[in-house]
Amino acid sequence: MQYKIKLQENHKLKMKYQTLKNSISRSEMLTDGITEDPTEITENTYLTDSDLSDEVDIESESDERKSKKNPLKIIRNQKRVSSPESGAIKKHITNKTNHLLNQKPRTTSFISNRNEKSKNTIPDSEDPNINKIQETISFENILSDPIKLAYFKDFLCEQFSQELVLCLIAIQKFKSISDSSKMLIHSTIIFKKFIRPESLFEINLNIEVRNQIQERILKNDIEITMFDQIENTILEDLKNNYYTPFIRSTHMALYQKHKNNEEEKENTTNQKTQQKEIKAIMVSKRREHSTLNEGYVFKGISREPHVIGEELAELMIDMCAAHFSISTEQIDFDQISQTIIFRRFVIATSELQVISLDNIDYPERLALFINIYNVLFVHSAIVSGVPTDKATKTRFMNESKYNIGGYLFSLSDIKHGILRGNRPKRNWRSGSYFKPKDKRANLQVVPLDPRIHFALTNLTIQSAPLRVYYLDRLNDELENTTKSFLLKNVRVSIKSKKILLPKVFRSSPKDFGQNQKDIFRFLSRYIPDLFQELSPNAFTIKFIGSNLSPMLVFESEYSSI
Amino acid sequence: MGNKNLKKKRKEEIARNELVEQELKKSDLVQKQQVKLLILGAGDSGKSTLLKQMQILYKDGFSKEDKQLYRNVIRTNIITYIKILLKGVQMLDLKLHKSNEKIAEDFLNLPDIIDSFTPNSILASKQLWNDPAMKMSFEKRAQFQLADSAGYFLDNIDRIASENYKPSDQDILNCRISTTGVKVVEFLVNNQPWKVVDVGGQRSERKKWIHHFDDTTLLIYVVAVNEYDQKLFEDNTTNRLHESLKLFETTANNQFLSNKNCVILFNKTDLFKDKIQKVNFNKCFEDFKGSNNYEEVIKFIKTLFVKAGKNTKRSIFVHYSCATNTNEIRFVFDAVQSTILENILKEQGFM
Repeated sequence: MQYKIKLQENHKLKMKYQTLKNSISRSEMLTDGITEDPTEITENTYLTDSDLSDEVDIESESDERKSKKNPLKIIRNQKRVSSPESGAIKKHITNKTNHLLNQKPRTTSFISNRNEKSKNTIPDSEDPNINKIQETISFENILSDPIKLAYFKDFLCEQFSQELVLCLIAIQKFKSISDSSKMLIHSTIIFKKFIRPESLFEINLNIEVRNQIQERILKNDIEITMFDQIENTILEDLKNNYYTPFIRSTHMALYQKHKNNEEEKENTTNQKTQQKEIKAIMVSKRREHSTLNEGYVFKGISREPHVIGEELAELMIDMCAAHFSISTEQIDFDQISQTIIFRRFVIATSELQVISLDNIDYPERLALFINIYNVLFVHSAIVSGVPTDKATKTRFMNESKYNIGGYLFSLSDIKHGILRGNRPKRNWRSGSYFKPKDKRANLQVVPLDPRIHFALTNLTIQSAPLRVYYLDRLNDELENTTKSFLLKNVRVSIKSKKILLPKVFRSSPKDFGQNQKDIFRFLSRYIPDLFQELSPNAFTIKFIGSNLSPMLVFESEYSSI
Repeated sequence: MGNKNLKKKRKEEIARNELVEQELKKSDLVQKQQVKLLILGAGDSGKSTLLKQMQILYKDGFSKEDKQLYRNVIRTNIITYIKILLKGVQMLDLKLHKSNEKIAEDFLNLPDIIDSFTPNSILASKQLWNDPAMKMSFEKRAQFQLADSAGYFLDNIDRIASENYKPSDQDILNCRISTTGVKVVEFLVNNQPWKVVDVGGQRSERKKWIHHFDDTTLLIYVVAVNEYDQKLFEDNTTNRLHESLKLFETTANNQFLSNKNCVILFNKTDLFKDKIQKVNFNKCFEDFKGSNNYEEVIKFIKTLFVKAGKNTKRSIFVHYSCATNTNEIRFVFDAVQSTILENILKEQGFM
């Protein structure tokens, strides 16, 4: 019976085709051998006529065949189900509206002369609804409000055009700098990131503009107005191509909700968590741990190890900055995994295969492995999701690896074996982390620098923001990171005589010295006003932050200096 | 006790799994019914114009805000065009009429924004556009980057400057907005849902294409044939037609697209017909040995492109059109529909 229906439908289709074909006389058709392999056909054609809904079962059959043939495709389908707003990780509650907020955009010059005058508007309007939104939220209004701008960036992310807003923000930041040497550094970064051909976030620019900027940077001729032309191009582009679609998009609705009603926001959060749950399972379905930088074989001569580490960390931060979504307040790792930038990043990591680890000295080794640890951590999170419980965390730490100079390193290997100087994971155990004959033990960093604990990320609220640890200012950077971390996470309650310390002081206390006194000495170095006047013995110590729920602290800066 | 908990957990897991499966099925179904057209091509070849035509053909034309946007863009563009032409005059060492020199100087200082479009600047534009040196500069526009529609708008400047000017469909079709990123628009064509993907064509935009390569039903590659004597916007040295050919070769043979049927649309034939009488095609393509007329040159270009995309897994269809002409484009899309139907029939084993 079903078969008969199918035949009839096909007959209809054929008739339709014939009539269409007859109506076409001028088209030329160059059939270069029609394929005979049936699987080929099922793969490139889909049922397209809505009349044919009876045939779903036949389609699913061919779909199965397809899935056997091409497992990759199925994975891609899974990814698509998850909407960009839903992330695999729990919501970050702290009131970090965005890293974008760091910089208040310049509002004066381009806005004042862009206020539309009545002569340039068509008088009678037909669609009052959209017009109303357009009146309340004009293009200039979006640019001057960091939160709206952040939502706008989320929208652009979907169109793969977030570079426009990123560049705009970078230029505005550049304009706010007054120190000339810093201006040079910043203009070089802008050039490297947005203007150079084949750069990560290349803006669509005319050759003349590009050359002009390049020459200026080479000649060290830095002026505050040097990027104005680019800024104008971007503004035109944003206004012409993206402003109206954004006003109509779901991101605008999200923004309205965010603004209007806290309660409603909670509702959406509930919906989102449900979506997230679905996604979490999908993530676990494709969870695969392996050596992450061996997809490509690096051919060629590697550069200095620390340079590679710094570059990878920079790339990582750029990537995360581009995909930090304001509406979910987290980095969309799933989205990153599908981008070209990520593919480039993976290729870049392959250079680690061939670096020589033999002759690098103490500070370089320290900088290199801190950077690589952070890069590997985020890379692994992009590939297999952020760990949400103890079991997955253990796998996460032990099974995602990088091939570095011919040796395989997992996150644990780097943390305990190298950076903590080959000490065992659990503080009560004695002995060493690596097995006696393991050659990787030669690479350990001794003496142990306790500040590493605050430089290593774990993508939770209790870790330092991602940073690049540059070799030439490693000490200052570590000092800064440690200080800001401790200031944020150590709490002292005089009343109840309690000191709340981050968990790291419990899991590896010996890294900070022999006993509690040493820990207090360490702490007093960074928070002197708190600890110098206290007699530690009178206080009980509590540890906080044992939960694994990932809450991101993210800033888009390379370095804190 | 523990057993009970386990059972409960298991039940929950099964429920969640079902939810996931449902989601997957739903999205699969939607994808299957949809026809996905990918419009690709180098920069300024007319991809977005094609999309605008679909807006006219299969939707109810342009909305109020669209018209408002295009009106402002067209007006701003007029200022830009005059400035580019003035720079061209300087570049080519041409002499403006004495009375126009001062006007030109002032004009070059105007910013490229809508507020520059004042009665004064309209008057100046008209006067400058009528200057023989400017006309000369316009003739030699291939040496610098001027949009193809500049002539059309400059000739219509009076209408555009009028108080209650509303851009006509023809104006909007001619209006150039450089696309960046990826635009996806859904249409309903003869009860068939179509998803049309329009992209930016310049080099920096091409890396965004790959996100939309999978599940493509049909690839439409647009080539502007009139640009054979022009250089790229991105680097000012590469010939545009050379670039377009190279781009087609790499795109069409991409692993996701190599087995998809493909329509090559040779666009801007009207401008090409004009140009071929003035500029020898041989200068730009040394391989070309035929005589310099429309038929032979277009045949030559066609062979080049078909050869570049040829393989056993696909059919290539060729059309010639002028994308601003709605009738021609209607015809092209009728043909596209038949191609898509053919795909279905092939799958059913009827062809």
